[in-house]
Amino acid sequence: MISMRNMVVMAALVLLTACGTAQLYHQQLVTLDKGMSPVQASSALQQTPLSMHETTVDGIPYTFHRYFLSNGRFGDTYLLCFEGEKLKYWGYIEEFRRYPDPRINRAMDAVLPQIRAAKN
Amino acid sequence: MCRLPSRRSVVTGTADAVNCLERMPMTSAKLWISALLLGVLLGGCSTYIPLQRPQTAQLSRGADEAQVERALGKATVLASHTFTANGRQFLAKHYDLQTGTRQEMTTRCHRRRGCIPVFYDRPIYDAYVVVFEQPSGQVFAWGMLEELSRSPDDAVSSMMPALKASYAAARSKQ
Repeated sequence: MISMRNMVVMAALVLLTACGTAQLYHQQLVTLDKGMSPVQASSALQQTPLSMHETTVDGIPYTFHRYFLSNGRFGDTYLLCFEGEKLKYWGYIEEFRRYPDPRINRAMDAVLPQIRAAKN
Repeated sequence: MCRLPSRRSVVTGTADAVNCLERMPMTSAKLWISALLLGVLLGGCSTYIPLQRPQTAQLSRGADEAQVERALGKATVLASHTFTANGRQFLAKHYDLQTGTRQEMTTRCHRRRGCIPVFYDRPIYDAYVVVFEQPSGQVFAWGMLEELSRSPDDAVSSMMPALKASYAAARSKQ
């Protein structure tokens, strides 16, 4: 049995822990559309990325915005990929690997070490 | 004052029990209203049927509306609207797809006994849409809204801003 006071303290701790990392929720993803600019995408998600990573493949600049997508009790890194200044694709790392455009696959591989370093 | 009657007072019909019986019509009315509300709520629930994954596995490009209806059974269509994108006319039908459940917790608190956590499973839904090209009435695209927005097929992803705007307008009318 937990006293009312302890319950309030626990709830406050859970809330504070949740605030530690900015999180995206699945419902927010519906607001994204291909072709959005980085500013429009951040504004649609109502959140700035945790980090940004740039690379160039075949002369085309790619920028990746790193977010953390919460799935209830679990969550994972979620990325937005801009080709030039336009939103091209968004998803989990494994979804980027399956994307049918090989340039996107290569851009992903190029920025992955930076993303992993930024996470730690 | 209406106190809870002791077992003895009920059996013997003493003052405590009699006082409470005076308030019985009011209590009875409250009970009937609660039962009625519950009935209305349950009636509402029975008409709302979310989509399940195995049903969506039966969808395929080119299927017509009747085939889709058969595949999706009695799943509730939340909204149906037509829109134009890239010079083509479409009909969109929206559903809720149940993608899983999440465990939530609430607390029951008692002044003397403290608080007890109570866990329960809550279903998770995602917005799902089936898009028919008009006038052929054949399935053009299907999936979750965010899934279609990032589709590698530009014919599908470029249609999504118009679909979402039309859906928002249809919902605001409801």
